[in-house]
Amino acid sequence: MTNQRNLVILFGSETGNSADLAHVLARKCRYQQFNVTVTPMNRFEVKNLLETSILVVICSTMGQGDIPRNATKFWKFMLQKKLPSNLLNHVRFTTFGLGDSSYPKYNHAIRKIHNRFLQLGAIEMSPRGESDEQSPLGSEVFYIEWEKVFFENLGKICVLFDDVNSDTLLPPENTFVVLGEKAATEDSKLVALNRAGDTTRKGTIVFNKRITAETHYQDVRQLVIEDDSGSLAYSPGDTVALYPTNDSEDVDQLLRYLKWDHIADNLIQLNGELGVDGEVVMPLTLRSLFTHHLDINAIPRRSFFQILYHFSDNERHREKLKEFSLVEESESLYDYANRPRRSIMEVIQEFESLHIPLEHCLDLFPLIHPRLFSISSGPDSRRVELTIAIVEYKTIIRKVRKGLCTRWIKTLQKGDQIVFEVHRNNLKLDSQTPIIMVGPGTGIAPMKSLIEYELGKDIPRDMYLFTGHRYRSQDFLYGSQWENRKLQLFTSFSRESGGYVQERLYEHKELVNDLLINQKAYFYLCGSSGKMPIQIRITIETILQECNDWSEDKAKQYLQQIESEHRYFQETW
Amino acid sequence: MSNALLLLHPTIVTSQHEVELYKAQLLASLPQGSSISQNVIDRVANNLVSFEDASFDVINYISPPEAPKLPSVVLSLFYNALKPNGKVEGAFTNDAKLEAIMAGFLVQPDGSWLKPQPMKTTVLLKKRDSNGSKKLLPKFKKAESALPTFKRANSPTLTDTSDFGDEDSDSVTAKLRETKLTFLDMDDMDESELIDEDALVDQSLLAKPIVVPVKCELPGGKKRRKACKDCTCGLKEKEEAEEKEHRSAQDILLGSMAKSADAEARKIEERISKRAASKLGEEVKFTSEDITEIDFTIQGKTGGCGSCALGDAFRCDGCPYLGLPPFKPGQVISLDSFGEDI
Repeated sequence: MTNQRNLVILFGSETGNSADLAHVLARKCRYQQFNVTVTPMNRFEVKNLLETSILVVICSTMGQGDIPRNATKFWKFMLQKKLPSNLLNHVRFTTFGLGDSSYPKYNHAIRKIHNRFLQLGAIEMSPRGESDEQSPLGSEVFYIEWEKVFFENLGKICVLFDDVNSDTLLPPENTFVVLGEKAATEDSKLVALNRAGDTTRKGTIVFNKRITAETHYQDVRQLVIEDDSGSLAYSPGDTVALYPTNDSEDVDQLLRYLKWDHIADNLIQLNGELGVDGEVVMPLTLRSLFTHHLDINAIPRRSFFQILYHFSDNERHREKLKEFSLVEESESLYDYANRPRRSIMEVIQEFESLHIPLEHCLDLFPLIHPRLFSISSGPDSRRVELTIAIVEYKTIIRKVRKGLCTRWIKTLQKGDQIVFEVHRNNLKLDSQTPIIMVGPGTGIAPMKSLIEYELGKDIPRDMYLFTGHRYRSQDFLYGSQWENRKLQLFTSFSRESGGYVQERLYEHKELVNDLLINQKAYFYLCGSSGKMPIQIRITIETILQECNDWSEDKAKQYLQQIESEHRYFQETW
Repeated sequence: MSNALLLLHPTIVTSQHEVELYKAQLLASLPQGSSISQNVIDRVANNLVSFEDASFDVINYISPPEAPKLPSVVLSLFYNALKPNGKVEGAFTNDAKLEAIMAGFLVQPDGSWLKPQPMKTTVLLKKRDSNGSKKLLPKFKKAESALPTFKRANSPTLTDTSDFGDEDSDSVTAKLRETKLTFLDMDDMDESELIDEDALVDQSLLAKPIVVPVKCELPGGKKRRKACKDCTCGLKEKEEAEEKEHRSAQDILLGSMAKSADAEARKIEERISKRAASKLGEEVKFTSEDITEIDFTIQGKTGGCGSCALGDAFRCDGCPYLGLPPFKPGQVISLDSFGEDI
């Protein structure tokens, strides 16, 4: 009854690496004549598990060992105690995890997922794989090896063809029809507001101001949105999703370049779903599709080149584009695309022999995803405030690199309407016990929200805020607001008196230790990911060791304990 | 007169002689004046070719004995492409039979698969069932005893029930599936009762070993040069210094180009102003587009290895053109693509 030629690939991805590998694998399976469903876990209809005979999960791990955001809903479903142990005994599965051993809990997500599938009766059809980004030769080798073993094992339960020619182009998966009727040309800002469903809110920009000095290297914005319905509900630690759009000149240029400009404003009808968060805009035309949903400025990934190379008839171009599609050649792709942050648009224009068939465009271009920002205002039913660092930098390519979302944010004017959505994170931050807040850079945002929330109470809890910036006069975000408030402030200005937040923490080790051990204080850390959160953790461990005369293990154990008591929070990006 | 389709396994296609032989054999087995279309099975399986429904009398598949079984999707493609009473011929193994039956074929004593004539009974059923009930299947069974005439008219062949063939024998499975389905519901989630996910991290529960690379090495012995986020080993600084150096090299390069472009532009301007002076009243203006264009190609700048002109993807490490767009001798390039900081 179940068709052995059906294969489901689910992914959980934060930065897109897992999604890319999932699509690479999906394409290989399609060449093996499988009907492949490849989707983020949250978008998978769980009842389809009943018809799933072969399942692959590819998933990365978030900083604290958690499941990525686009998989959390599915994961919650999986964790339900009521699920019987033979629920998935008709499923043969395997998993692959993407990890980075500089994080203590790397690859924890995939281990949890793998174990849970086993608990629910699923049969492991091929061994699990785990990659390590820190491996000196890159994480791809782990994938290559795992994929090889996967296909060996797949061949034991299904017929595989060993004479597959990947140079033949597969028919497009996501298709659409261009209708004869033209859309009434509308302002793209209005189109952005007009969405098929009602999963998003509409709001008006009331404030968009740079809050770092003009002379400072970085433009940080304070953005205030007023909810049109006045029915906002959020708590400290929650985030807002914004739906950025591409620059209209970029879109014009690309559509002209691809010679689609003459039909750019014709209405189009999708055969199936696009799978975007926040629903598709209306009216849907090639122009609105390329403005609001297709990411033409993204850094191209392997899965992009896997399709793209078919569209060049120039042998040298074709060969080079194909090279970029191979997992084995990830280093050349890295040097060509990732390192200089080259955009998809630039690649297409550089390989002038390309003739992209219109019907493949939905498969080729990645989707624009909403961007999440920590809320920096205290709870309010009408307004929500964000603190956003504008992303702009230079690489070897002359043109300044700009983040898709923050470039769009810079264009927002007072009075502009936008769509947005509040994501409730349900952090259990609320308590009467003291709290230590560490928020270097824009990591200050959720701290500000929490402080404003506390100051609205009759008796605010004791608050200890550690900030980290470069100069007091340039980028001390909301600096003047912290004075005269009922909180203890510990500043670090790295380019002035020197030092970072962790050094300030260590200077006040007796206080920090007393707060954590005796007063059962909460610890809340937010900011850039990478080494900062690790160094903070090491600092806390050291403080615990030195002040209590504990062993390293004991200190580590204590930290784990307060984590499981939900007193240690970390939100890094 | 028949219409036949000859499908070949890719390994057969390599020998033209063999192909001709099969073709001749097939033609000999068909009535006079028949025609043969020919295709490779891969193209059919990959949906690269499609056939009109009910267009062939015979599909003949030639494959080597070691060729894998045809997937069921291909079998249903065959089924649709055949005319009623048409057949599939080929050296099929026994285990392919089951799938052929599943696809709706009648397996003939000689091993070929016959597409049976369609049953006309469904039309009758619909006509009879005029009171709007959607449950055709159970209705039909009850009707058997009530109206014996229908029974005769309807008695279906084995193959005709292929769509719901396994239902009865799998009633136990069906029940299990139904039970499972009640759990597979996102809207009926019990969030209050979740298992402790941290307990799932236990490595010992993950019985089987994981796949680790046998050879921890990228093909071609390539070195990884990527700096980590928050790099402290100095690689990031090195990369940045390299990039800075590179940008200043670009500046020099572009500077000399701009100079020559400038000289060129002045010459043109002079020419135009002369022309304008002679033809009074006729306005000549550069559009903003004209001004942002410069002649990119200076004599002898196509690059030593000839690859630089093709763009970054083809340029060597340290090539002075890295970061600049591709160019062709004599081609005019829009400076727009360099961005604002030229």
